[in-house]
Amino acid sequence: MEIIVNDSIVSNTFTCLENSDGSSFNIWMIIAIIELIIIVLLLVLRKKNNVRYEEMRKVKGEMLKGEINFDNTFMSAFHSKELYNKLKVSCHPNRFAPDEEKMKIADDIFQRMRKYETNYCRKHALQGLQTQISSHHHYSV
Amino acid sequence: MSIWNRIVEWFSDRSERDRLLLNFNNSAKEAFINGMAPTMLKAKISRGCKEYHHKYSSWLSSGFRIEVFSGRQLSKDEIKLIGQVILSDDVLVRRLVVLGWDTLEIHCDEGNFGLRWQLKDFMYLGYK
Repeated sequence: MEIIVNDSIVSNTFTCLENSDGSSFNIWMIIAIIELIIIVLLLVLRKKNNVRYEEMRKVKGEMLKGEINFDNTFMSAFHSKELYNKLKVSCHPNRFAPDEEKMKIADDIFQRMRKYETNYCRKHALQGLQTQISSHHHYSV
Repeated sequence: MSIWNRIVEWFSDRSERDRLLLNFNNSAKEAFINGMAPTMLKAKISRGCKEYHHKYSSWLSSGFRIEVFSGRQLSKDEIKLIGQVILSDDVLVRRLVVLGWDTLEIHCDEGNFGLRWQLKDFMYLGYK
């Protein structure tokens, strides 16, 4: 017995053509163009970022050099004030008057001591210098 | 610079941060045990202050927090002195900045009062 059927290929083509309209084509084109723009922008920004990143790496490398002395940090945190108070009395330039040369050295030490007010090690070194001056002086320090 | 290198660098930075914290805490512990320091300090990572962000800042945890185990509320001057000591160490401040910290916070174990500084301000000239 013969059965009459529609041509499936032709009928599918008709269905597709009925469903497709101009608007969907435009939407996909717009999306593709936006994607292209984003890719181009990313490429441009990446080049710029790479230059900035290299500069940052160089600076970082420079800054990571040097040793940190945590012992000095803790000594400074808890003992620098008392050492400063002790030194500011004994290193005061007026104590070495009228010897101008010693007054000048004491003034220099005093200025540096004020600069390193919170650094125990440097102040300790300055204390040594101060002792050297005062040992040649007739006043007891 | 490839993405892979960036990932490797991020991990190396993380490890450097952890090493710095570990060294700080170990030194603080030793100083306390030896009697060099009357109170123990402990460094931690905190969220930090958003206003202090700089280009090296870590995304989430950009605060270097020091807790002072004093058993009492320290005065403002006492906390300030500890802060000044940290900030006067140029090498330490620079290292903190490039490792992603932007805020230095000092608190004690008692009370809610503490002080904080913007690390970037002390990077080049040190304190004063």
